[in-house]
Amino acid sequence: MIQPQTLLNVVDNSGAQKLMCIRVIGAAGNQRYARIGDVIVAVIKDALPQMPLERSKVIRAVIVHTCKEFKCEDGIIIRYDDNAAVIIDQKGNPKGTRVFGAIAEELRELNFTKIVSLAPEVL
Amino acid sequence: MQSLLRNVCRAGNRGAAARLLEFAAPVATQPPSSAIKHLRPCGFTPPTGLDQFLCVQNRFISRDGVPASSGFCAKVLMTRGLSTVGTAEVAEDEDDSSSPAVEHPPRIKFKRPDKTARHIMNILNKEAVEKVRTEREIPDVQPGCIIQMRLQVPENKRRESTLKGIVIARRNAGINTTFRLRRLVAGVGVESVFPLYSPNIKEMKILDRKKVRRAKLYYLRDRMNALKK
Repeated sequence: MIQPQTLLNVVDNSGAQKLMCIRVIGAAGNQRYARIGDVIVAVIKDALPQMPLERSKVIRAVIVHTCKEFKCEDGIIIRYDDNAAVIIDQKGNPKGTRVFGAIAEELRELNFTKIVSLAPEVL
Repeated sequence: MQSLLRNVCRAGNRGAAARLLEFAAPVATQPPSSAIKHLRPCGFTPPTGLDQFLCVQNRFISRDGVPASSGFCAKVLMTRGLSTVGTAEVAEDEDDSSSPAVEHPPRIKFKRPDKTARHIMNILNKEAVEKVRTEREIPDVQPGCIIQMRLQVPENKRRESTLKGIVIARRNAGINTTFRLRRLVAGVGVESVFPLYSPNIKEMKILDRKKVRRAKLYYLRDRMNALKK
């Protein structure tokens, strides 16, 4: 349940460390919350020095971890310990070259296959 | 049965009563046409299947009373089938309360329709659990167990992944019993809820049992121990 002002960790090596969500793509009147697989517009709050992405830049990201439970179709419910996202470009390709952490299988169906293939572990 | 019909009419709860009446229909074959008169005034319109059933009844009803109608009801019982899993119990049920000539299998009391429905659901649940238990060996997972399980994802890939973690909660609900497994995946804590009797769980093994004094170990979320969480 990610909404504007939510702080998220970044789990790729694009340079950013923390994002703050400012908009959920596809929300009507900003009422809807973002779940795993939704794209958000975020601003970079914290970044590593000397990297292509720097602080207070507005970018898009796809949510990969949420503290709110996520229900899979076979009856399994997954809940992560933190909220995290992967930074993407307009088309949906990740900006970084590596992804950390476990990624849910459901992202593959949502056309984020590149992220799923880079993941060290797929849930 | 007259008492059943009276209860149905009296109870305001149309939905549940209608459903039960539908499946107790063969039971309610006693009705001489007076019962139908009972139904009409309370404004209860039976579902169409029942309706034509009762109309058929009406035609064949003789004024003699019980023996003739019981004969008819026995014939009708054969034709009217129910398509639930618990057909065995239901058939027993009907046989039991319909005619005195038939022998009595274990009696399921029929005074309150909603209680009977719950009782039947209980039976169905237990049956389903027994069926799964005979097929697979399912160990007794309690909170505090560290288990290792093999899970099959039946999507395109058919992979079998091995998961290892600690059970932090268990919720008992018949066939829907679930347990919550907490593990560390690539540096991030992940909790998953699995149905205990899911066919996707291929194998479960208990590695260790920790002594805990709680049923739900949610306090482990704040403690990132070095040991397997």
